[in-house]
Amino acid sequence: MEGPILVAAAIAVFLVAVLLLVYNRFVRLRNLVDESWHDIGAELQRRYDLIPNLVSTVKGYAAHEREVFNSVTSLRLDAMASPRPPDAQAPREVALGRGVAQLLAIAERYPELKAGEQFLSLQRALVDAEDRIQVARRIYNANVRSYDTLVQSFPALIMARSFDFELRPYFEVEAAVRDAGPPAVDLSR
Amino acid sequence: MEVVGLFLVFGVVAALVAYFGYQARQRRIRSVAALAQRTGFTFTRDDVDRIVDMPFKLFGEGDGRKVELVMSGTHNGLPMRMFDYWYYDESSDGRGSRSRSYHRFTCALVTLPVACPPLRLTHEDLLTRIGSHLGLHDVEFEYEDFNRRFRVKCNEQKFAFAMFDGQMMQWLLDADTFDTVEAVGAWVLLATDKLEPARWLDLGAWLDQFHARVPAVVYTTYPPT
Repeated sequence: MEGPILVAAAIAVFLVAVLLLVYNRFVRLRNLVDESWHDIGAELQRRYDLIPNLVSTVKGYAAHEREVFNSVTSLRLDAMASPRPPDAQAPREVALGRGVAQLLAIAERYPELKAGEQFLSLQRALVDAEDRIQVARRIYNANVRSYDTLVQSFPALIMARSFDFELRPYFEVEAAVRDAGPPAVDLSR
Repeated sequence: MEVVGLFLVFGVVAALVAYFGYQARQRRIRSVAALAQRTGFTFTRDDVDRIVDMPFKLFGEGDGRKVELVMSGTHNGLPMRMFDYWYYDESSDGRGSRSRSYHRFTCALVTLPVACPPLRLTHEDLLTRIGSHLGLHDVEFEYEDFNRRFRVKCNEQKFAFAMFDGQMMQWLLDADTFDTVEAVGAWVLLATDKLEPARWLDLGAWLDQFHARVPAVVYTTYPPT
């Protein structure tokens, strides 16, 4: 009689151990997703901080482009407003990125502005900020992919449903400022 | 009498192997020295700068190791070194008899204005794939072809993602002629199976192209300290 009880106990211990491992993996991946989303936030903030400077610099040469300045300012405020989930934040960041690219395109029409050290350094900083956003975005999406794959895999999905581990959305934004033309600076030598 | 004959034959064969080995090594030394002279590099037979002590994982493998035939100079404006490297694993058959298996490489080392956390790029094989299934994960990127072919070890995920952007990953898939690529501090090491000296400059060209593809964000996020 003792034999079957021991076998049943061993199976139960094994199952509990597996459940604990899977649960801990869920928690670890979810934390990674959260951390990488916070990292994106920090990189987005870097870009928000640069935009007022860019607006005032370009304004000094092209005051009549008021519509674009106002648009970029309100896009920035909208993007910075209360925290949103990644799929709701993404379209706002895309719109802001395009607005910034439009500002840079305006600057192209003013050779003196374009050649100014302050503008060049802002342009470099914006491209760098956007590159950092892209790195953070790719890390976040890679973590989401691992987490979502686990949430959708059998038998882990049973646990996901029981403990409310929900699918996380991807964060997709384009590199509008870099696509508009990076500054001609070689940082590699 | 037969035994003496056998020893004699064995001795002659061993002497011939040693002689031809010596001749081949001298030829290789002369070829590398000539290549160095032709390309404006300096040449040293031995590892006078102790390259072998640099903190690359490859230089920590095996039970014994050596860097030799070192060419140092500038290649397209980049400080570069090319050299032979080998290490051996020693094993015992349990009856006191020891044997060594040698692993030989030709390497190129370039200095870049960055401070890289340690990163190692190698190829996936059966063992590493099994390891991945058991939870020994490397850095996983969004590009599945790249993940399937390569294994990236780096404790700083952010650096790995900064270094391997889409363009770099595609290029590495197309230019997959290496055994190992490692970055640490200001150095990037490329190692391939041992190459004939005539092909050493291919390593320089490979590193040139690698350097051209290092994303700008790597230089701004990891500037030299």
